[in-house]
Amino acid sequence: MNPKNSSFEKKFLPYFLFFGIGVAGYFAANWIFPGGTGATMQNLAVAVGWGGALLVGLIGLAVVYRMFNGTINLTQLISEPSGEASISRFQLLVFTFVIAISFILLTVSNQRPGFPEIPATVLALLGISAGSYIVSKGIQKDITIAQIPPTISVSPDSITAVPGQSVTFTASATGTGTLTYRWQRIGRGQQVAVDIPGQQQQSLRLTADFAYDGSEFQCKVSADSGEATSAPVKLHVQEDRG
Amino acid sequence: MLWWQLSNLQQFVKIEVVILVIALLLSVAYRLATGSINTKGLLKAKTETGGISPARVQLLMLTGSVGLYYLLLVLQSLKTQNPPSKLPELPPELLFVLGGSHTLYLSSKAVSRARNKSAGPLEKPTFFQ
Repeated sequence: MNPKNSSFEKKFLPYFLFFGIGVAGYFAANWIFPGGTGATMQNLAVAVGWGGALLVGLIGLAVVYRMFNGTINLTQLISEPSGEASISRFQLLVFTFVIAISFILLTVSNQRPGFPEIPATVLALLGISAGSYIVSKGIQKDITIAQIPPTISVSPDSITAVPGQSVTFTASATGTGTLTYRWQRIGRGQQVAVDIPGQQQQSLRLTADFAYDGSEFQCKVSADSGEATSAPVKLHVQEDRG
Repeated sequence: MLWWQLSNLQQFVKIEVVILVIALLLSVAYRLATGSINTKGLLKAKTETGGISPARVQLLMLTGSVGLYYLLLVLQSLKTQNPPSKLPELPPELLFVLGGSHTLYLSSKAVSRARNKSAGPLEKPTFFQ
């Protein structure tokens, strides 16, 4: 096969597939909702709308769940690289959030199709907010930011569980630069902490097993400016007496 | 009436958006309350003496008030029979007040930075020591 043709096929294959799925969907809708082309198209559009709404809902819930349990790291949402919270970033976040929420609420509440108009005063509000943030960053740009090593801000707690139960240890840290998380295990009666492979997030998830009973877990946070380790916490695994 | 009709889809999307927005707000509020979102030094003056900065406090209060006021304006406009196709207007006076508040904050920051600069490099913040 000519390599040029192969690359062409690879490039356009997804479009052909989508087209094929679209045509198949049209005929399927025609079969499910008999009653003419116009009605079929309308039903197809509503079916696609339901699919989209369910998909967006599921993605939204997954994002919120991951934010809630700490998998999505929000520690530095309003912090500067120095580790201190920034009021200018906070106010920009608040106004952007308020306007975005208002825009979405008005869009879904309106019976007419289309997006709501944004008045000049609201644009001015966003302008003041964003302008203030930029000027604030400009003022501190020429100041040398102190390199602040990571500090553990949220430490994990010891857990008692029954075999098979899912357990989660969570830690959080602040400091300059990009923070890298690493979880370590100190086996029962041992002194050396060993890295747990593949566990490089703020939360460590395990399924309780007698093999873990009495083990200690700690989170090591590293950055260019240094590193910090949380105090070791124990996992107790006991028989389910209930 | 068939359950998959357009009017039901619109109703579903409205409920879905409201649930997601509330869940998002609760999630951020929970992480703020538990300290997972770092708020250290949010109101602290970035000077050698430290302490609470009045310029930051007034900016925080005004930000919260204006944000809440605008959300109430939007919720009020949604209560009407036909929701408007335009976001509610903000009173120009409020924009002037907000502009003044930001100017005050930025001026105070510029002055304190200039003082710090003339005094030498920034000290390591005490709460990390």
